[in-house]
Amino acid sequence: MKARILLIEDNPQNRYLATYLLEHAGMDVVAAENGKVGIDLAESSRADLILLDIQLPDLDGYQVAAALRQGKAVDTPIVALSSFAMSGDREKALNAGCSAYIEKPIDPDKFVDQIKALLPATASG
Amino acid sequence: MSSNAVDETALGIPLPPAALLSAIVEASDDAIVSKDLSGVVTSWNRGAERIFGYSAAEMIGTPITVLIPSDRQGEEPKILERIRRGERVDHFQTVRVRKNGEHFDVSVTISPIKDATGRIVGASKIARDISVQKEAERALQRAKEWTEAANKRLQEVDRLKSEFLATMSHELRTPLNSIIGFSGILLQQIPGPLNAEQVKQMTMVVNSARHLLSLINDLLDLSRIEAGRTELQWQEVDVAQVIEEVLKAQEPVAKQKQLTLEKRVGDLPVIETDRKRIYQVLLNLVSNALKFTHEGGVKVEARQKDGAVIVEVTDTGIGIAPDQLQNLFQAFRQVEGSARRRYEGTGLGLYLCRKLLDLLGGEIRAESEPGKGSRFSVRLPLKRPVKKDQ
Repeated sequence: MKARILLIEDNPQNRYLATYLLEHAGMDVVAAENGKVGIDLAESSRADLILLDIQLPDLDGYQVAAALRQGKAVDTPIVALSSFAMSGDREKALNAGCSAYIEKPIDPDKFVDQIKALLPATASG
Repeated sequence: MSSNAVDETALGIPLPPAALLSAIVEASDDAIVSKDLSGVVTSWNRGAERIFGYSAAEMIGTPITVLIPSDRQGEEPKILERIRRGERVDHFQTVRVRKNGEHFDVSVTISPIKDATGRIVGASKIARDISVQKEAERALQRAKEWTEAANKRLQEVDRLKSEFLATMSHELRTPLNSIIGFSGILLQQIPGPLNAEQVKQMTMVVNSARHLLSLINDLLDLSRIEAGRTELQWQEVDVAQVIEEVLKAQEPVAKQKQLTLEKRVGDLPVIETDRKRIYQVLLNLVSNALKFTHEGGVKVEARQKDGAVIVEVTDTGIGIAPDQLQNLFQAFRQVEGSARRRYEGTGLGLYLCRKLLDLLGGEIRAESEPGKGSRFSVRLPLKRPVKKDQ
């Protein structure tokens, strides 16, 4: 079965970039352009992994992560994507409930492998 | 008899007690006055003349209320009330008026005066001009308020600065996400095959974008250090492992330039430091060494010595002239000269290394012989240094 990724990212170029790389690696991608839509989709998409941008226009990524952890995505890996890269951002994301943190700009040579390593064993790339 | 007369001539004639008291009152710096129970002045010393500006002739027989500002006239009946009850008013701080109309701060002590039968007949009042003292207090208060306001402004500036850094970090990296991402995808030839020339050009785009990213990172790191906002993550670090990772990351560069890249690492203790920062410093040194070397190679050596771990990065590169060696670890000091323009860089790398090592309690030194090569030595303490300022 194809791995299904929920991508919550407001920047269209970034959304296209991540979607392109993941789909090329044989994954299904469901995209949300803001936090609220992301939280809704988390319930219906049954994603194996959630990629979550931290700088979103409505709720920020920390709030989205916290909401997801209380709702339908209790166990799904949530991977924070952030271009803040200030010390403390990683801790903040992990404290909010994220399972991992990838610094932007993403490295197109490594991104797919990073995601594959974080997918639950039941979902394959 | 005669001896008595001689003594009196020599020592002065003692004053009778009442006259002595009167002399003391006259000599006092404070205003010492008395008034009857209706508040009319009955005596007025020289101190009072000096402080209030009225002579004894002007004041005796005059109500004491001429000394009280119009907005404080209510004080006098209350004072008189207490005096009539036989109470004393101690060090009452208030404001009075001089003859010239000037208001000033005074401290007054008022006590009842009793006659021989014990009946209260009036009050004595000792007033001290405390305007200088009060002005000093007010100045101190103003200074305090000013300092507090300045502190607040500083905190605000600090907050804005860190907000600015976070925003810049985000804004500068966002376009790079596209540039690095899509040029990488094109180079991986996912959308379609590239010809040799296209691969060469896309490689240049990717390398430039990655270089730009590292410059932005250096700048942001420096701004954070300068703003005192670097958060270090102290942990147990195996330096040998960090060296291994640095060499692995730089292997492709060495290969491309056909340079050797070796390491000689002895037995190293685990040290307490910030792994990411050490990686950053060593990566910077090795990548610098490779950048300025065109023949031969780079060697990384590490050993324990005198309660520290020493890491040395030695190259067979172009070297650094002695006069430029001393400015090497200053900001924006990439070694100057037209020949050096072909080496890209901001000149921030070594400055950043030094700043990071300062934070980690370490040191960095360089020695070099132009044309032969350079050696950079980093000294890392085994334990987290005890901070003096915290």
